[in-house]
Amino acid sequence: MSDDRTTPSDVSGDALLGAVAAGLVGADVDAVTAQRIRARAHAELAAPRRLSLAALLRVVEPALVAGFAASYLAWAVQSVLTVYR
Amino acid sequence: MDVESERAWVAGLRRGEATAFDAVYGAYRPRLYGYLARMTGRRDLAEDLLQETFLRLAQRARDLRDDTRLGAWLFTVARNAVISNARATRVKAALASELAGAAEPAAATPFEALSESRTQVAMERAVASLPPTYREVLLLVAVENMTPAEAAEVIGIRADAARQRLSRARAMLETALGASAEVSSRFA
Repeated sequence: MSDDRTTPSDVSGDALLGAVAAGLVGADVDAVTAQRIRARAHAELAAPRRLSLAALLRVVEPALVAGFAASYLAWAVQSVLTVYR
Repeated sequence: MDVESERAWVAGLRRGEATAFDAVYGAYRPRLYGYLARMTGRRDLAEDLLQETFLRLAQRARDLRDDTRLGAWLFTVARNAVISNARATRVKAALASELAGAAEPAAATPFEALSESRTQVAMERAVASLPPTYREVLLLVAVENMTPAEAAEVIGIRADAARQRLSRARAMLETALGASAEVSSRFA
């Protein structure tokens, strides 16, 4: 292991990293901006769900896989029956 | 952030509860804002990207997995927003400089005006002077208290690569802080 690595256990006790955390200004958006973002997000949260491609794929993909598997199995069974019939 | 609270928030978000959103918003807003402002160097832009990040959370709330780690999720979205914006800005800047032939003015650090001591100014400047690749890993680990492995997940690199970046960021920061005896003495 190179000395150029910092392991997780090193990080917690690292004085320089601690100085960064302590030395930077703690800041936040102003109250008006915070409220504006919150209100817009609440509106999004309450909005009816839009059908996303990812959501659609989550439903369609298992059905497609199951369909392919079933048709392959049927083909395989049929092939075996054809050979041994 | 304790695991139980995060799980409860994720469950609430999946049910579309505004109270769960508010809890997440309260906990992560200042942290994400600080990260975004220091990555973009602009507080106004950071506000826009902060809004983009939380709107994305609201839009995707019902699709979150039960085991979603909100910190990593939010910082990944925020980071992607920074990158998308940087790409768009580069295109615009190239066009603008072609048209006007003007150089970009040197920007002050986003929180310099809010700094209460020379130590804070020195630290803000030193962090701002790091290249973005190193700055982000430093912010995620030092300020957000992530492990290098968690930071790697946010950045989309391997854990050992994140450790190497952190090590280099640390060395660069030491060099940048070298001029400031006041800050240097605090971690010596």
